[in-house]
Amino acid sequence: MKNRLRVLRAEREWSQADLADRLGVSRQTVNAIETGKYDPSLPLAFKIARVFEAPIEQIFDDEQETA
Amino acid sequence: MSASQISPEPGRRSGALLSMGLTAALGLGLLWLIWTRGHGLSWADKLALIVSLMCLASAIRIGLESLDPRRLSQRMSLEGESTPAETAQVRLQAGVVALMGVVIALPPLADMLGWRAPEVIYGVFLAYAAIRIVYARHVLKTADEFVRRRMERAALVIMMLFQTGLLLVAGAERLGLIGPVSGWDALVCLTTLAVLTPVFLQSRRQAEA
Amino acid sequence: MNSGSSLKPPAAAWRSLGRMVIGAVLGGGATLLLYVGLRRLDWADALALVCSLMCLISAVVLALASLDRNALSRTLKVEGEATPAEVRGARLQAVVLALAGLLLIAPVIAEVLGNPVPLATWLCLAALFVAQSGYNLQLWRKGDELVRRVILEAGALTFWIFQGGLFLYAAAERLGLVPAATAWDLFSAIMAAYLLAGCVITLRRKLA
Repeated sequence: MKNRLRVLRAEREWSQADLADRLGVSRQTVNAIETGKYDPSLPLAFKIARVFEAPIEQIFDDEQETA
Repeated sequence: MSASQISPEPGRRSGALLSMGLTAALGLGLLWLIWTRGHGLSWADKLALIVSLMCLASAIRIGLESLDPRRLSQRMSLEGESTPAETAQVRLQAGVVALMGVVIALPPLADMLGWRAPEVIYGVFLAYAAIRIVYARHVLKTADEFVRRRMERAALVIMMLFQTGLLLVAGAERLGLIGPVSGWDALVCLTTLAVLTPVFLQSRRQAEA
Repeated sequence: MNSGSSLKPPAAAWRSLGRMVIGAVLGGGATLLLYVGLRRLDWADALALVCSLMCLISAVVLALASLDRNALSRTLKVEGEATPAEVRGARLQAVVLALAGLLLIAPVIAEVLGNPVPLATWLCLAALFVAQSGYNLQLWRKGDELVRRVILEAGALTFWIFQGGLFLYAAAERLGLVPAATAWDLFSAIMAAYLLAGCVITLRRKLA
């Protein structure tokens, strides 16, 4: 799933470690989500939305990537 | 407590009785076979026959339940009646479980009945493996993320239990503390775990709900 | 492209050289062991030896990487230096891998030594397994949802690979079409399947 995590993080000048701390996950997990290698669980997606103070659909794009 | 739990409907009761009757008949048949011709069977062969009976009993029960959409829906903890797609899925599952029951019992049955056709029996195993691959592909293609997650969890639990037992037995066998354990022994144990673990996990989920 | 590699400070260069030397020693030792071992051992012991060496080498590499926060960060594919928690996590994983390697090699070594105290060896094996399971459980508990997901997928894939293989072999064995396997053969095979599944899942998630 595509997402704007890297952009939102850059806008706030947060490092991967800053975001990982706020979400209570590892930096590897933040990296895997940012690169689209891992889709977060619903509780984690809500947590991400709360941290960025934005609705989930503004952070994650549920349209399938074109092959 | 719902009314159905206090007084089962006549149809449901007769279905349960039929299922019990068929399983009892199969079980008695199996016991008779073991009693009369099963003297040379190993513990793994006897366990294989018990697992086979469990598979067949489960397939009969599910198959009979699938005849009544309301009953099937209740068993799946769903509202209303089961849809044709759900019924078809459950019947397919029951069919695969029944086939597993038949296949795992074939080698000891062949010994007891004096069939000397290992290549033919192995052909049946190969055919079943092919069916399982096609079935797994179908399930993975059509299942949603909940079903996939449930399958993965069950697989992990079975794997961990089996690996733990296998290490302890393999170490003891390798060090000469116990007699040899064959691949067939291991397969029967793994199949037993694969049959019992999902039942245990499901009952735990229902108890938690 | 990073052009800074040619301007490496001497300390970093020495560290790289040290790693290369350790890698060469480990690789050379592994090759020697494999050369000697594979000629004398049956397939299950040889497979156990190969899997054990893979586990032990990975454990050493991870433990060494955990000494250098930048190196660990590159291994984990994250920005900047590794945090103390990541260092602890990597060391825990190294311990789990090392214990798995020892578990696989212990019975082979016991046999090479003439198997003098089988019961004590088996108890050691059981103790090693309990310790490895405990550390594994700690990895699961301390890990976040991605770690758990990877463990789950690797375990499930191992089960499917192993079950398929065992089904076909054990049936043939029962029908007298192939020689009988031992529980040790199967344990070696399941560990190999686990390593293979772990690699597949890690690469699929691009975690290494």
